Amino acid sequence: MKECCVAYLNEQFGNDAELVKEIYGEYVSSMRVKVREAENTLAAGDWTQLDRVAHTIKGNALTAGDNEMAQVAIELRSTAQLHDHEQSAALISRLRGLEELL
Amino acid sequence: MTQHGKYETKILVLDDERLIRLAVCARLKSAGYGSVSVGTVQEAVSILKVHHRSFSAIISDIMMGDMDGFVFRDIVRGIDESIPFFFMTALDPEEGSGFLKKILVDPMSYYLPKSAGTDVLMKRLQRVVGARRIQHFVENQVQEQKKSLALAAHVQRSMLSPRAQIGTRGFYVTWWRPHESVSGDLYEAISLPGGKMLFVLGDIQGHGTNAALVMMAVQAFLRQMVEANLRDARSITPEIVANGLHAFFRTNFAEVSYMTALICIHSPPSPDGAEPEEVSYITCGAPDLVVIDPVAQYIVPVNPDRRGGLPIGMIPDTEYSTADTVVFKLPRGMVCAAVTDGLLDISRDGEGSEKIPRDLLKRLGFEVLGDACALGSLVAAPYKFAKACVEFGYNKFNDDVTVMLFGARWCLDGVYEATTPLSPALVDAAARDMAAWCAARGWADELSGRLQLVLGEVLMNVYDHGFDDLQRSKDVVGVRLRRAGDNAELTVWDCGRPAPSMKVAAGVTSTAFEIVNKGMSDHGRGRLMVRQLCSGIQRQRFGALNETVFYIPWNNAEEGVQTA
Repeated sequence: MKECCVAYLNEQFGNDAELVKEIYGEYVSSMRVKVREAENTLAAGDWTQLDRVAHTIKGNALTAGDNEMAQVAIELRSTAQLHDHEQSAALISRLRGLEELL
Repeated sequence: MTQHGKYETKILVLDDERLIRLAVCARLKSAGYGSVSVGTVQEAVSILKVHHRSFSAIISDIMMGDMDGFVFRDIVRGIDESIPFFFMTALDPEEGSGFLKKILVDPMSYYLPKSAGTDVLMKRLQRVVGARRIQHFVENQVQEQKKSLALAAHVQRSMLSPRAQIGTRGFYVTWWRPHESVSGDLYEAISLPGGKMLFVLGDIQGHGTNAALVMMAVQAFLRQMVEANLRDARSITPEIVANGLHAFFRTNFAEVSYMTALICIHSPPSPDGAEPEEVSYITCGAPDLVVIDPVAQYIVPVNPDRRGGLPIGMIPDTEYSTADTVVFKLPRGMVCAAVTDGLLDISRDGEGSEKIPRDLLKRLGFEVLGDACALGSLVAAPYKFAKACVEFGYNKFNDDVTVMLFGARWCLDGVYEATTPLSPALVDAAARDMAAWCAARGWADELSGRLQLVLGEVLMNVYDHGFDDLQRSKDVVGVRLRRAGDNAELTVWDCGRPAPSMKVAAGVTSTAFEIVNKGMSDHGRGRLMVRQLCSGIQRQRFGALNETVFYIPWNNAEEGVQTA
């Protein structure tokens, strides 16, 4: 479990280990789906949808206390809005890396 | 849909991400709130349609797969216009999407960042939900207070004397209008030996429930005091009544309340005419008695020395004496008018800055009294006077208002006038009394019979359909009968609900008219019969007073020519 997430979730949920585990598990599952969705969306060239997916990743990451992931998602939103394929691909690659560390 | 616990305060959570729903509901649970979480707008709407009252707030995402959060809010506002709505979003106010502006368009919408921790979420939620809870509490209290006031108003009305009475030797009529549901004004009309009447018009300091409670206590005391002294009518004088009321006030309401009052004893002229009509009165801080000659349109000066005393209960050692009392022999045909100062506060505006001019009050009073006297009844005069003020634009009543007219019974030749309590037991007697008057003047039996039928049916109709059970017990109906051209004109005044009007399209056949007429009659006993007996019926409303005029043909083809 990612250390910063555990610390944040423990603080937010009063060290309720079971609840923290459940929320963290849900976070991991959602990231797996969302990062894959971001990759597919970029491949399809759907910038609007990519912006939305990045927004969802940001919201979920903030909820789990994963500021690093949230920051990358914020940058991805910007590149998606600029239709910048190269930068978007790089950022999604970073998201993939972070997701694998969860 | 996922429901978390059974709590007093429940929040509806809408987000298409399960992670967010899970985290928000866990936070709510830790703070003691229940929650229901849903992933689609459709689910949320179907729950709110049925159960919106059981939720204290809504927390919703803005950017969702199936719908925009703002569209969801629009739907919610169609269901519940005031439920607090929190937008919990990962959108950044600095992104420039303008979502904050959209949130703030609605006064019951709030912004919560998704990055906000449990503390921030709970503080905002508690503040808003707490305010809504207080708002609901206050609304419930207001509803309860309205119910209590309605009951208090009914009790208060039932404590007042009947609003009008045409006696054998004297009469009085009143118009009593509370500023709010209940009034601090009181009027009392108590019969004394020898055909005399004691009239008390009081204005308790302030208005509303407190003044009304004091008023009811004063009325109960006043009646007891008069009852205890009835054996010796000489012991009932205006100053003695004032002193008794003053002692009662000082004992029970010292430093809490006081009352301005006009206390009058009216003595009608003796039947043989040897003793003239007389009024003795004391004003205790109240507007002076006005004695009006309605024919000459003139106010008779009765208190040039400005006699009177301080308000009752105001200063501890006050004692009222004969030196404070006015005694005046009334010329024939005078009308005495007693008013509370609320009459002088009638204005064009709610603030009372443009009050009704005294000259206009006087002019309207003369006109209304002049007309009423010419037509033979003052029963409706105070109501017509009030309506005249309103028609001149003075329609803001900033205080309780009471108007009381009284004097010796006077009868216009050829005019029958009476009042009768609204009671089924007295309806037939009232109709018979009028028929006897007709017979005594040589009106044809057939006409008298028709008039008797009409009045009896009309009174029963008012009793059955004009009031609910609580209101009817104290109402008095006024009646006037006279000849008007080819008709006998019977006027009935009551304070019940106005009768519904009957609309028949132009050009319908008489059969169609009768069908409509029959339908109308089903709503009230005797209406069909009354319509068949009358050549015309006219209705007008003066504030709470209905004036219905029935025209019964004087000449009937079968009867030949009647004589007056």
